[in-house]
Amino acid sequence: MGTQPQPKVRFPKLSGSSARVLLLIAAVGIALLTGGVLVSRHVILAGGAYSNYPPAKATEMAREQQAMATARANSNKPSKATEIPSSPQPTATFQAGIVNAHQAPFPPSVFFVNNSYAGPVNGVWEVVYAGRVTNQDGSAGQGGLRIYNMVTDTNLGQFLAPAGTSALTITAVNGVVMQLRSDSGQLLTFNLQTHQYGQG
Amino acid sequence: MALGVGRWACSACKQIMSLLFARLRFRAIRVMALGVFVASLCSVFVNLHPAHVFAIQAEPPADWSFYVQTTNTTTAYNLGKNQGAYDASHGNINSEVVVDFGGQVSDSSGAWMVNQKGKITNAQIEGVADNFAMGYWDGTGAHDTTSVLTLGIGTNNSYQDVNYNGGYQWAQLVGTINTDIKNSGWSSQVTAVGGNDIEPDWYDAPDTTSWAQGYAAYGGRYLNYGSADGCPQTTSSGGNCDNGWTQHDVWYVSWGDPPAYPIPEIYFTSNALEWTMISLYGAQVQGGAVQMQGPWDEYDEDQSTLTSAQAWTDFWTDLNSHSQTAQSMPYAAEIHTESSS
Repeated sequence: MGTQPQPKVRFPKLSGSSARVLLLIAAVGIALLTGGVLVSRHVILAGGAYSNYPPAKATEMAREQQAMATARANSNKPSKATEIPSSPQPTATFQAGIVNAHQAPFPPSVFFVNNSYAGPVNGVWEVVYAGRVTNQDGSAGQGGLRIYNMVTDTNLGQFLAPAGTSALTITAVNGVVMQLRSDSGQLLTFNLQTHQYGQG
Repeated sequence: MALGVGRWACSACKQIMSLLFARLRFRAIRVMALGVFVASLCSVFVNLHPAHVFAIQAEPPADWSFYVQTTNTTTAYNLGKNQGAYDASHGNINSEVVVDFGGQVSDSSGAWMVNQKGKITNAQIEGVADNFAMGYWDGTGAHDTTSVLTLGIGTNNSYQDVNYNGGYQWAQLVGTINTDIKNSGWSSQVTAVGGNDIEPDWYDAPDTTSWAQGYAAYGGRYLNYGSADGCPQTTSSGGNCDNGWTQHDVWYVSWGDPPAYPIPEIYFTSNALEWTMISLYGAQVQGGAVQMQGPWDEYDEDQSTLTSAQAWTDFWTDLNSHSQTAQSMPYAAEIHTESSS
């Protein structure tokens, strides 16, 4: 029984076409890598300057910066700037009443305001925003009110009208009873003390 | 005999070493070539999806903007001084702040402050803005002469005077404030610009566009710190938004109009997508991406919305997921109510 011949160890020689192919792959890789890095840096850096601004905007920014540089060159900043005395300040007073404005300290994508009312309730100044909530998909949701304390600017709560009621508008306030009308014409009341809705 | 064995052993050893070196050399070159090739593929990937490879840009400090609630100039001075002291103590950094005076009244004589705090006249707006600027100048101290405050004089499109004249008058008011700043010697560190919280849900596009054009007619620049209500989150072909607005309309009042610079509301993840598509609309249809000043959050007003860090991450990531809108942003902002801050 003869011994089985050992398989001969084989490995390619690094000469000729194999080496050239590998060198070619490496060269192409290096070229791509270098180009890629350069382009990437351009993408990132370009956003940081005004190079992507339209000419009118770039000119305005340059003008602004030039004016500031000129002012800085001529500035001799004292240790403390001389304060200009303020004019006498009027005492802050709140004005009661209905304001037909949409503005509020929250966005219309959360709660859309039709109008608002400011006035004292049990001696505390409140602002009541009338409108409707905005659904997650952006569609108009249920009508309701949002009430804030005017002094502390804190949110006292959101009070939704009965189901099916569309956006509310404040039409009048008599004492603590608020008269409301929905976009669909429904009339309601809201008691500012008890925070309860009623039929208008 | 021993010598023969030794020679045989040495010869075998040489052969083994030769085999090993040849194999190692081959493997080393093969690994190197493959490594370079993989790296090159990665670089191509980077160009297509830079945000996935590069680390997110670090968020700058979120500058506090304010709903102005009082005509008291001392309050404004103190808020400006706080900002100046902050900027000076953090390496003489720049900041961008908006003081929001509410919607303009119909005769352009002032604005109606948010939270029903009543009317503030143009003269009172000027006083509040001047004192904020003075406070900043003082707050930066004697040694900080390089920090710069961009002070936005803000209104919105929710009330009256949303028209050409309203825009012109507001720009003129900003011009007056800048003259005050210059004459007072603060202009090396403070510049006033306009501001408008433009929200499609609040007013129609034609009138709001007229306001923007009126502002442009006078000159200067303004920040749009508004929303893109109902605008598409995945398409950028000029699609429809709420209240009859389109992506084009939002683009125009935010960037297309020469004075306009956007620092948009990013209250929810969807807002970042909406504004990224506005920027992409600019890139694909108008010849250039909209360059954002940064995200504007309202976490201090409503803790159910994104924090400043979340708004930054969402917005930056969305913008930089498209090669055409990839950009860095200089600022971050957060709105506060003046009296509760």
